[in-house]
Amino acid sequence: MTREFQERMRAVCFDVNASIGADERRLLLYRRLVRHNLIDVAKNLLSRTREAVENAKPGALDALFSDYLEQLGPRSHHLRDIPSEFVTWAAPRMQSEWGGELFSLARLEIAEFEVGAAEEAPSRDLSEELTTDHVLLFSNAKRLLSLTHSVHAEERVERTTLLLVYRDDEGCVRRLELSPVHHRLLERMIAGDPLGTSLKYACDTTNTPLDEQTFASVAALLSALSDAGLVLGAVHLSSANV
Amino acid sequence: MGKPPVANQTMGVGLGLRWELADELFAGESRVDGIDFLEVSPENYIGRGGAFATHLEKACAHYPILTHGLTLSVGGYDDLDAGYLEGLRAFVARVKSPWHSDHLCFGSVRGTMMHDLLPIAFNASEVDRIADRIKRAEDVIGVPFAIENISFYMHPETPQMSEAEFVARICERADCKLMLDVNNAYVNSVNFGFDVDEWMRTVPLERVVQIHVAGHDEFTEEGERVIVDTHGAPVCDPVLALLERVLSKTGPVPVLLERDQAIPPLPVLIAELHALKTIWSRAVGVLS
Repeated sequence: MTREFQERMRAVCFDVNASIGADERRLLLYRRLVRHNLIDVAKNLLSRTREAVENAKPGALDALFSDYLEQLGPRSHHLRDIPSEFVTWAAPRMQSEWGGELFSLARLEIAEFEVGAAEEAPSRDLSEELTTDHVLLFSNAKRLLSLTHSVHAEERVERTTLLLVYRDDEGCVRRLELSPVHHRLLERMIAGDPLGTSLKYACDTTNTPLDEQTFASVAALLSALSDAGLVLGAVHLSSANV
Repeated sequence: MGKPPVANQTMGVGLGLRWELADELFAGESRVDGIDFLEVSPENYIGRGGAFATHLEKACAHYPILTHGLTLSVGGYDDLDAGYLEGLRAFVARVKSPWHSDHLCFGSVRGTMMHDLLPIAFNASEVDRIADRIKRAEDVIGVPFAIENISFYMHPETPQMSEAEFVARICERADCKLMLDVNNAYVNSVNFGFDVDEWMRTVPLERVVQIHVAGHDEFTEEGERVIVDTHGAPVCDPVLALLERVLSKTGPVPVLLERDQAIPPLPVLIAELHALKTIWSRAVGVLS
């Protein structure tokens, strides 16, 4: 009976169409309390998305969040994870029902929040010089995004937008728009590949010549990220444990 | 034979650490006058860096810390989450909390986290089942566990005993501590029409390690008046009076002011803490 009540509570709170008997009216209060708590977090952490969605498709965010509660529901102990869980679950529908711009905005907003709150990587002694056989170690506070719209810019237009969202050494969340070759390079390096392999992959997949100009731009990028505190150091491939 | 008494240096009145208050709390290099300790919810800090980690570091540097969890779900049927408990153990050790508390409720169903404090049935079989879960959680967390009475708005089924008797039996069977929420007891007494002083005579006040007080709000629900534990208003006079009566029986235990909604500027909360401290001193002084 008690277990059945808990199942019933879940059904009533997460399915707004669940019928409620005359002797269960207080479940309505719980439905309101539970849903308010969850929707509030999602709206707060997706405030720009909410505003944009409300302008374009009034009620669409609430409706989609309602479906998320009914069909999946929160899985994490941390309230802060709910917006991420929601956007991950709703991604296909956001893309098809809201369009690329609003979906891009939701992904950017989530990435910025996650980067701002990401736990620090454990510190290590990383004093080695960087060679092509070295693996870079990055702070945990970063996300690479490939968006269909420039939702980070003043003017939002439809164009492939490659972003690195990261937290700098002063705790500020920053966005850096990347060229395709830099995006692919960081994708591989963040995955733990050494510099040489990553650079070759990036150039091959973006038809970029592996020449002095590319070397110079990559050196400048890595230097800037190191200055910002995102690159923590380098370890030789033979001793890398990332 | 019961467990040894809890070693505790934390006393007086404290405040829950909230993001909205952090800048004011940590603006200076020392403790804010009027705040004797801070309470933190591990769920808000575990696995988190950036400004959250900085706030926690400053909190630990300037204040004694007590931990208060939100999602253990001791009344639930899902297995206790081993990863979550291990995280709690590490967190509680890191901030040096002398005990850890969470609520006498359920909060997850088949892996879905409800993120609310939901009511359990006050029946005999639940006492054994929940006490066993508390003991298992306490073993992992590594410090004494204190269970908190919640406010609730319905009974899952016809109760076999009163809430106070249920709380007493749980504490006895689990041999755990009690985090006494005075406001929750008051809210339930109004909503269900029982004598809150009788309630206090039934629960094991000798097991109380900490007290919560908070404000609540009144709503009309389906034509019925109901008080909801919103943590969104100042503590009302009847709850302050009840706090004093309770403190005079428990003796000196730390009292935490909870404020989670409509959070006012820090000076307003400090003024409320000063009023609580006056009550605390008066009640504890009665004992000595």
